[in-house]
Amino acid sequence: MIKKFLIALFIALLVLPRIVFAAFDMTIEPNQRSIDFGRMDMGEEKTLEERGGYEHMFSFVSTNNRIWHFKAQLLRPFTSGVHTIPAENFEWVVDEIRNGQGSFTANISQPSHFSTLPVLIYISSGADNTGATVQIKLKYKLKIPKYQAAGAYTAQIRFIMMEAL
Amino acid sequence: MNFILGFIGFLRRKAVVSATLAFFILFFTEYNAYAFKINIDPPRVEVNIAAGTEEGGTISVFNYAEYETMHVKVYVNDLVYLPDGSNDFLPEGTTPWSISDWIKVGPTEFDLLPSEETKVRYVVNIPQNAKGGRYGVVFFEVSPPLEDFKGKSGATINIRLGSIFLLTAKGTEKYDGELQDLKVDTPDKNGEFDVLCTIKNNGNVLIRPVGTVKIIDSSKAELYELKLNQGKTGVLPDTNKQFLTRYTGKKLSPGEYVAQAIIDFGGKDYLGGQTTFKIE
Repeated sequence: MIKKFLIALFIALLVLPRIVFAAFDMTIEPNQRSIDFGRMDMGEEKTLEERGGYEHMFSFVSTNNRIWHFKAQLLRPFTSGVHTIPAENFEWVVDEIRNGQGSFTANISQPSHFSTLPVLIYISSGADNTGATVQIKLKYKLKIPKYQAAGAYTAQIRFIMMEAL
Repeated sequence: MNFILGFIGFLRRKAVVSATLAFFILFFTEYNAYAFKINIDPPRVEVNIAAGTEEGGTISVFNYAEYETMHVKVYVNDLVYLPDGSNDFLPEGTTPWSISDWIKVGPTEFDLLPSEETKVRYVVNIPQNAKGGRYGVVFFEVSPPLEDFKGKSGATINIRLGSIFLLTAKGTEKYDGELQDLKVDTPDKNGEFDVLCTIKNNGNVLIRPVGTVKIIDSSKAELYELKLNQGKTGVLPDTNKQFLTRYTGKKLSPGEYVAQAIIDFGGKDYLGGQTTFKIE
């Protein structure tokens, strides 16, 4: 009796999280929704992954059998008071891809700069839309202009996952 | 004595079962203490009801984080198509096909505790005299509090997931399409070329034109068939869109050819058109 109950409980625990929701989710690892470039000098260029910082692994799951897009948008460029670092100086580059059958819109071996408009990074395809976990690791790069005013600069980025209409 | 040994044996088995269960729960469930994860369900809502009626439903938002509370904002945006087939988003009420007059969502802002689900309710109310379709998105955006970078430079990250809404006043749909242009580009050095097809939606609902472009030589032999809009992206009412398909077949020998398009846009008839082009 106990054995049957435990088997039923075991199956329920494994299956339940999957049947409660149709999946359409985005995960960011590590759970740190900030990118810390630390202290930088004027004219300095820093890629976080190379300098002991961290990068983000984005995981996407969709079971809706429709194409979805992954986009990035710079909501606010690096700003300190009235001073702004141009959006073009803040870049992302794809460091690793796992499972994705879709396509990237940029040459992923080259850094692409963030934009204040949403920029398409990835278009899903095939198994990406039927439950496979697509993982895309991004690392970030920031270049401080030579004559940038000193200050604590902060920016805000938005990552978007959604289906196409 | 036998009873005690039996009891110890029972406890051991129980411990093994418990440890096995714990192992599977830890390693096979999808919760991860070091990840930030949000789920919405459904990511697409289609409502097809008569004008003058209403229909409601919910969208579940789930916070998979074990320790962190999420602050979620819910809002409606209009959308348009971009040339790459994806959508761009505009403030609500800025496009003729905006859903903003037809939908109400709530709550529009809430905290979601770890491992908690909230249902966001929507009510679609189609006005009495409404015709055709409306299209938009309901966004669920999570933004962290602005971090204090203490004299350093850094960026904070927002996450936004969208649920697409396709609303139709049932029985008022008008499907009308037009092939506005069919053009063949100059071949590259490998003999490959693009065929561009512009389709106008003269109706009042979204259309998803799909079809073929046949490459025919001067002896009327069909050499190749190109597929058009395999991704089934749409054309919004009263807009046009250019679809591109690429010829990657055998290099065509010099001469005159015809590109012939046949397109099904969901209306009563197919759209058709052709253009001649030269290979030199």
